[in-house]
Amino acid sequence: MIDFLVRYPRLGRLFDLLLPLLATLAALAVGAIMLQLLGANPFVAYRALLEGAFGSQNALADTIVRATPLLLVGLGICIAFRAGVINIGGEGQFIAGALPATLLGLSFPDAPAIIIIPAALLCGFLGGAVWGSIPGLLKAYFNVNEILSTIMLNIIAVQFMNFLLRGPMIDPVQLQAASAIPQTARLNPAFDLPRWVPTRLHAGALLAVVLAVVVYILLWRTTTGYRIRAVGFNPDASRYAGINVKRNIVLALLLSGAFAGLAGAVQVYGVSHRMITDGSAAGFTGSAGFNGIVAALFGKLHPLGAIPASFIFGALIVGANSLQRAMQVPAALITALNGLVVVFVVCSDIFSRRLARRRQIGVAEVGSKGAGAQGGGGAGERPPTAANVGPPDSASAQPAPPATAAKVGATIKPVAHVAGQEASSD
Amino acid sequence: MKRTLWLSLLLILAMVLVACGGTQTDTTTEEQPAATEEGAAEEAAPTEEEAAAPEEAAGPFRVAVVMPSGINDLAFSQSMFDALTAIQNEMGADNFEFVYSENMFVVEDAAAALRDYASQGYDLVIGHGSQYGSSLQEIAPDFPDTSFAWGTTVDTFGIANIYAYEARSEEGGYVNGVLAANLSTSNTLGVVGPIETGDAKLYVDGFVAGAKAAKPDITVNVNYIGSFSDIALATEAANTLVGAGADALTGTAQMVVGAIGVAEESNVPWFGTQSSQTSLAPSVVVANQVYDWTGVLNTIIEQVKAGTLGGESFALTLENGGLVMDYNPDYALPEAAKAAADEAAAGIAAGTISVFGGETAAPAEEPAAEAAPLTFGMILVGPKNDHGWSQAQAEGGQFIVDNLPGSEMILFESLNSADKPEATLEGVVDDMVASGATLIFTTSDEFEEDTLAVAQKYPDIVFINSTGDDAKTGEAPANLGNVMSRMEDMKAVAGCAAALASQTGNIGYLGPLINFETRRLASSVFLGAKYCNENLRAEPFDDLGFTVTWIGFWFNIPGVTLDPSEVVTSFFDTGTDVVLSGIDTTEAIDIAGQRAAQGDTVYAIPYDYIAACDIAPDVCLGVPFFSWGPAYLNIATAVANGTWEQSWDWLPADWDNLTDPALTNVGWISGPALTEEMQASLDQFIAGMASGEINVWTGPINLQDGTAYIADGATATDDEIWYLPQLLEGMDGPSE
Amino acid sequence: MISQLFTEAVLIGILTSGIRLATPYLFASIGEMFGQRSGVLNLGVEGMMLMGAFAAFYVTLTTGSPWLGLLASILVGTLMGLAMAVISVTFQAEQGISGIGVYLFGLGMSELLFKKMLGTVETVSGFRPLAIPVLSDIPIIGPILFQQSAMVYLAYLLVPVAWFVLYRTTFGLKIRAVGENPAAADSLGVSVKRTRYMTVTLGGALAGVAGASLSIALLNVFQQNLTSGIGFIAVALVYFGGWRPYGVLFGALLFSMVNALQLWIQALNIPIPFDASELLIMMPYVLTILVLMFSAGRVRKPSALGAIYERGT
Repeated sequence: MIDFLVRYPRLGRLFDLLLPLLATLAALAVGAIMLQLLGANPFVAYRALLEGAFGSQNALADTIVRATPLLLVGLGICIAFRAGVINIGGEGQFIAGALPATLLGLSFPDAPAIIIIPAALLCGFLGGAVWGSIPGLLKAYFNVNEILSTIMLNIIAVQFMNFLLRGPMIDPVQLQAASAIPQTARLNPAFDLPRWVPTRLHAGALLAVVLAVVVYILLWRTTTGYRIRAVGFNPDASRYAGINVKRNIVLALLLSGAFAGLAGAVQVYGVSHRMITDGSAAGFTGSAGFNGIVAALFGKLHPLGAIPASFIFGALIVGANSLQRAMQVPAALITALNGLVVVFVVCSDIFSRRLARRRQIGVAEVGSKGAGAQGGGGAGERPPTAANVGPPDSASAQPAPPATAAKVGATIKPVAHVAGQEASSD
Repeated sequence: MKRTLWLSLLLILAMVLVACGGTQTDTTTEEQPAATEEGAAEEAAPTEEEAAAPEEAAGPFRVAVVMPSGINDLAFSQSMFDALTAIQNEMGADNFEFVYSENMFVVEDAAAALRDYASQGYDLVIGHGSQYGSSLQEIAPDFPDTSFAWGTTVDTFGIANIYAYEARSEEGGYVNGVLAANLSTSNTLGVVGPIETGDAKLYVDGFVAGAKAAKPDITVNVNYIGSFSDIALATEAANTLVGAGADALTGTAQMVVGAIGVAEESNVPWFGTQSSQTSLAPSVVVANQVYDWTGVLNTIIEQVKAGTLGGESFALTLENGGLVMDYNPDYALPEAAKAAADEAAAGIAAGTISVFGGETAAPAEEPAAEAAPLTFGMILVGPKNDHGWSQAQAEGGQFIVDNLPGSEMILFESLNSADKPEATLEGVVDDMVASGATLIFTTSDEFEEDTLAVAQKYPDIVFINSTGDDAKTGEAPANLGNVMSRMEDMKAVAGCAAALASQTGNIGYLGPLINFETRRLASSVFLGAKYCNENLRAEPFDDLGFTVTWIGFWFNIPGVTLDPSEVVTSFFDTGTDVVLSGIDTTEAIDIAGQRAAQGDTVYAIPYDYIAACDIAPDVCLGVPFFSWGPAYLNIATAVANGTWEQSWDWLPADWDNLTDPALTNVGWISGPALTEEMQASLDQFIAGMASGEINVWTGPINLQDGTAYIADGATATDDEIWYLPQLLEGMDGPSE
Repeated sequence: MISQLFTEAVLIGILTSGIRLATPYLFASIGEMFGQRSGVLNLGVEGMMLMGAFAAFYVTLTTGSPWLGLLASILVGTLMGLAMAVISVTFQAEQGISGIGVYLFGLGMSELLFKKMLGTVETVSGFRPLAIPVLSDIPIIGPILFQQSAMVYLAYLLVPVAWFVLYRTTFGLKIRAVGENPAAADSLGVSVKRTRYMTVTLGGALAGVAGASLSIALLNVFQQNLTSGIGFIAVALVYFGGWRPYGVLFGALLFSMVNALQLWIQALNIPIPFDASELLIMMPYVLTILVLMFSAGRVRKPSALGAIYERGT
């Protein structure tokens, strides 16, 4: 089959594009068996899933609303991964962005919306940036691994939120009411992001898509982006090339956190219009900080790829909840199913990489052998135009073991050479 | 290669599955029963007709519920699931169906679920979590034919198709606390809590109050673990509490299941709440406060069937049987402990024990007037349990319900632009009239103008606005009356008490916003203080300091008003030792209590609400309170009998029964901080006021700017008091 | 008020609590450490723990034997580990993400099984605290160390065993070689794949045991999401411990002791700034980062961690 796809490159690219989708379907097939075991008709169930995600104007809007924070977080994840750092602190950064953004709106309830909304989004961006830069600084200057620090910082952010929402920031009504629900007052309705009435679709979705393009330009059209990617691909070589590795790691985590923080602000001003906590991170974030990682990976860690990927993952979440309601299966099944989808999609990537390698070998047979055997990305050599969204990039998605990559990257050139390369996790 | 083929096969299979799913539309309902579990039979996807006509009597009553945790959490969610199951068993699956979504801790997902269920035409959609309120507030208006319910809260947002329900978990907490204190020999109790909010906080606070009521010197250690799900930490918290000496444990929320095991292991009694937890540790669980929602749900269901879709709030209480003290029959509970608990439960049910306020007087048994049934509305500016103005108003309404047979109250609280920017007085009144109210109390001068407008809109409905003067000025149509009580007299008493108690000679007054009413009240305090300083104090101050600070509204709105806590603090920091509250809420006494705990000698006089001293009895000189019940009952009875006539009432105190809210319109109850000596002087003052010998509004009185207001020897007329243009000479603080 | 903490009873209490709390972290972290030393990051520990916890609970409940329950958790954990190995080694999937997938699967699946097979929260008679004769009578140390349940002893025994395996056996050498330089190890005839399969599967088994230590020893109860984040902290502790067994032990103890301390501060009614219990709850997390800040300088992680290895040509 791979031979066939290598022979017909267009089909091969289509295959690359469709692969996550196919893997999702495969996972759903396994899910069908589970549904059957629970006594639910899988056909009916999946119909409910599709209808719940796409079946009506409202369903579609809900899907996009759910996808928006995933995309924003995902953009940050793309930046971090490209720099070779795993940012699993999205949950905390989301909260760290939402808090100052909400505080701003609450503090100036009478200010004009035209000032407050952009300022609040900026607050979210900065709040997330601050929270994201902490693991960045810790990693760069104290050698504290970002996985450890982000896990810890997530919990610290949640506790901080709980304290603020049941204390200083609590809705004055709740303070006096016996129920004392830990939530802030509702923001002035004038501050709501523009909404496509009667659905819940808000302008944050558009913002996220625009930012995806911005991040794409940042990563592939600017020196800053080039440096970030170079650091991710090969820190040692980058250092020899005079790139400040530490600074770029901090920058990547800072930007990554900033986007998660922005997602938090957008969620407050677009959807919830107040902050509310049930004590856990997920209660407020909807797990966007984690799911955004998954969405980014679905999108092959490419900002533009993250757009359809978040949409599909958002649809899966919205649709699965609707499935739960229609079939009255335990919610746990949905969680398990989501897990299966993630696993299947990451596993499917191997086919994409195999195909890429076969193509490369094909190229190598014609041209020089070069570094091809070690997985230097053929497609990455092409100038980064909009056309190489997805296929060319994923074609180059084969990471090289750092040990060997270091040899290849002894000079600066190969680093540039693999500019489109997926950075493996360090 | 093989793997590739295999995967492709799977993919094809998946696609076929989905494709087939798209065509199988008609089998939907037949397939459903297999998908249900635990007897919750339902058809999730309704047929079109059902969706179109949700309220038709034909067919089963259909309920959908969204819950934040699992249906088998042995706690909050399970209590609702059990109630729905019980109702289904009672009514039969043919007449009652329900569906649910559990683990909806993501508010956004819950909102989508609520909206979806509503659009599917369920008769009643329940959001069983206080975090769902803001979502329901937005969803319910889009489905005016669907009834919604949510809890735990009392807030229906004034939306006609929302019911609210709450569990007064502090009541069972109190009983559990009494039990635990009685069983404890180490005099230390332990509590495991999730986060210090909401239902959990109420329960824990109730437990502490009950324990302290039974044994004032008992120690109750509370561990909040910061999570509703961390069972391991909750368990270790229980271990820690036992290690710190606790010999009886309780805890609330779903993560305490492991802590119960610790109780069993350590062989210390456990007290449960929300659902029965006896099955987890039959040897140590003494009693559980069980939330039984069936009563509330049945009432709601009946009302929905009858066409009333919301607008009312319900509470589970020990009195109405919604809270059940479920004793473990296998636990050998000593007679004395059980008796103490029964007494506490009975006291709470009868209203003689208020959980956070110790003993209160039993409600007076008034001969019930013969009257036609009456539905009346009551609109509050603040929450109904603010321990202040709004609570006093709400209790006035309750007094009608208790004493006028067949009367029903529709309560709407917190109508103000900060809390409910969307709600308007007119909208709330529309809903109340639609629900059958023929008498509506609008209980703030903030509502004065709007009340005038709605009174013109609804000429057949009687409106009572306190504390406006439209009926006095003649602006009001014939169906609008005003009620105000002569709080001025009680304020003078309060001022007297302050002057008697002060050691620094500096008195502070925490004022709300500036208008005629607040000026005359503050000035009455001043005049009372001035009189008693000059005439009744053993060593009068030469120059009694009296400062008024206005916060800008009736209660604290962060960012809008001054923070009353800070105002009070700065009073105390600058040499003032008595602060009187003129605002609706309790910051003055709160802060005074804290300062006293730090060793400062300070006093406070709260306002409005009869039991406000309970917050910090040791610093409380007394409280001037409103008792709207008698006046409101008169009005309601007159309206019900069709004999009501417009009036502007400025109701005097019943000087012989100043402490009895069933008799007087305004009153004064001295606080524990008043010494016997001071009390004697104060009694002298009160007696003088009652007989008319003392009138603090006797000239010469000058306005703040020095203008003579009341001539020497003259006494102020009602109008001169009511329309006081400035504060008085000798008072510091702005007049405008 | 703080002085209340420095009484013998309280200090013993804190240490006893801390040692107990550290138990699940030890099992899970040591297992994860093996995987990471061979180059595989497994973020799915939490899911594996949950599956193990349920298996142990269910078997103990039905058979009455906690040892059979322990066995069941090992079995289920092994299966989960095997699955992770297939995903990360054979399919060479991105490890961080696939771990999240495994976590979600375990979270959902354990709850689903719990709902279908039990339906309600029950307690079980699991491993009881077991006082070791003589040793448990030693003042202070006795109650802290030697009056715990069998699972606690096992967890602490695991640390030297893991050290021995890692540094004194051929298997350990292979693990380290594969994690540092898979290509070189491969050229020396060490099967990278097989080694990684073994470590990841072992990690799964130990994660299962970590779950069992909760459900049939420390808590004796099963409820959905029983672990509530312990698995993720366990992964973090591997980094904290610098991929060394004793480092992990230190990290787990530090984290747990501070957690125990904050519980005691609350239990003793010691006043907290702003009356914010949240400040106390944050303590272990903040301190873990702070301690690592000042000690992590010299630690180097396995070079090939997280990298996919494919045999070159």
